[in-house]
Amino acid sequence: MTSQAVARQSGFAHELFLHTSTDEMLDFVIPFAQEGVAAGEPTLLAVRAATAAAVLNGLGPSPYLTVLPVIGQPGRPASDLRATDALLADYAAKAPRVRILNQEPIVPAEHWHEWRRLEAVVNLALAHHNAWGVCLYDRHTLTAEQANDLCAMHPLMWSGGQHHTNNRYQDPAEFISKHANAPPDSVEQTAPTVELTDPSPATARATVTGCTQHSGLPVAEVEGLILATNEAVVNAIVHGKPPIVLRIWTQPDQVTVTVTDTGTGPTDPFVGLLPPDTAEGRGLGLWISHQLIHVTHHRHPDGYTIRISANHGDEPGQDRADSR
Amino acid sequence: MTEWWVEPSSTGRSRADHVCWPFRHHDELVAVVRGYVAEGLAQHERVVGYLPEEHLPDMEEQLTGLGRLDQYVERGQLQLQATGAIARMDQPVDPPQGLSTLTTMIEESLDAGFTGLRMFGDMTMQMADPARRAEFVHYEHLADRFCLDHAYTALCAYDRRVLGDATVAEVACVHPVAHGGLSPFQLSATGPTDVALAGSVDRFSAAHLTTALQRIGVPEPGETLMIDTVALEFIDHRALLSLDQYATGRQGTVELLTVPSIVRHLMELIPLRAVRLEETP
Repeated sequence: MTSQAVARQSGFAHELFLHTSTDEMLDFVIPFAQEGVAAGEPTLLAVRAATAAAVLNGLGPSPYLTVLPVIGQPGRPASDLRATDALLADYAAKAPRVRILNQEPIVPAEHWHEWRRLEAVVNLALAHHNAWGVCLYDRHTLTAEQANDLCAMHPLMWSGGQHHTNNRYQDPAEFISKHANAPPDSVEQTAPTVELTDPSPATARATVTGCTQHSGLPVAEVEGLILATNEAVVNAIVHGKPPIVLRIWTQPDQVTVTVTDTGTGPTDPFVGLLPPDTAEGRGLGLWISHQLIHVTHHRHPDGYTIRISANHGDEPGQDRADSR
Repeated sequence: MTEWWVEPSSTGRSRADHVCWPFRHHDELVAVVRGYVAEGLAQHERVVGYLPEEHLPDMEEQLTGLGRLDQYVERGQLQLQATGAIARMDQPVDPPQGLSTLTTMIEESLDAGFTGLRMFGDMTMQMADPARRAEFVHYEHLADRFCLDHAYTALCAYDRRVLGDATVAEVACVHPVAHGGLSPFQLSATGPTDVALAGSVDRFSAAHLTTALQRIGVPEPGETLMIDTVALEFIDHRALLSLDQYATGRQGTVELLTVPSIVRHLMELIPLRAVRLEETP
């Protein structure tokens, strides 16, 4: 398949490139950008500084070329999706087609579950954009299973110097349904710091607040944890089945909350990733939680567990819970 | 953890305080009132108490333990009256008339050389009749505004056994501070038309917030209600959407001042038509 054929596709052309060297990567990125600029298409490169420098060195500045920071914070897939959607919508207002390439971050193993859900749902959530989106991964940073997952989530692939229709691509809804259950965090095998049965939302909020005091966690993480815990307990009361058990583990670098009830949990495979069609629709609260904090879902023989984890961020200078 | 709007003590009160005090037993109310009355007398305020007629003799007897009580009564500094003297149950709640009466009482207190008027009242029966409830909550809010610029201190007592906690919460929430924490949030007057919202509003209390605003009567159609949220501990998206729907229905808008950062984030994520952040110049 030629570049022109890919570029002419309507909807979102979601392509994967697993590169094994910097040269190989640049051999793809520079022509991708050159062709986009030559065609007068807004061409967005969300790449690391070294890649940006190499591209700009080879290509020079252009009004059609925009270099952005890498998109993607592992643990915030819904937030990444919303940001990308907004970015494409902004450019779609200026041009009929957009090119976007993202040099994907290295995804820690504990975030891979949500990351692959993101890569799968992108095919649906961004389908209304006429855009060519390339996901660029360093093959050396991926396990074989992760590489297989990525192959299942991209309908197009670049390999052997060509664009291919990917026959390993799977239906996103089926793929996500198969991978609905997040693996447990090892902390869940230990005794929780706090365990409450059938707490009210107010009690749950107060307990989480108490557990995060002096934690040193970023304020935004603590606020997200409290809000998501409230949402989980409210959902368990309204939609789940008692008993509802709130567990909290406090560790030096992380506070983990789980809320378990004996119901079936949300049935929407895209829970948390896609907002409901209307503000009154079910799932808005979970979508908001996913925007703010790392959330996973797990169904098991005893019911359903939602896990919420607050971590230290990487950004220097952010407000922290013990400095308020 | 005790929130500042959950008042643990009836004493330590000062001018403009407007406290809600739910109680379970008359003895409990007597104990609360004793300290409140003694403090007012010591501050040379006129103290007026309103109680159901059947409880007046007992309260008078219980207060005799206060030193120089006869002198206070004799010179008109302490007055105990039947609740019916200020709130007649055979007539509709009349907030303007109620405030006019209060104004007169304060003027008389100041003219008599006292530093202000300190009132307490068992207002249980005003909330007992569902038909009077909305208008009485409105009156309580107007009294809260009245407190802001008058030499007036008030303690409003409500019997939890008669009303039930849910009904007490309906009126407790329009006091700046309340004993017992029956309402998760407090709406208090901050100026001629605006309010402050403290505490928490979630899925289970969102409707109570809009009911309280409706009874207060804000925002007026075409007008903007400013809500200071500096003491707002928590609000979820459902409460914000509920507030938005309410304001839209009244053809008014709500502007939130000094919002916590999490509320700012929430407002970026949900579609709101009539609720917005304070406009910064």
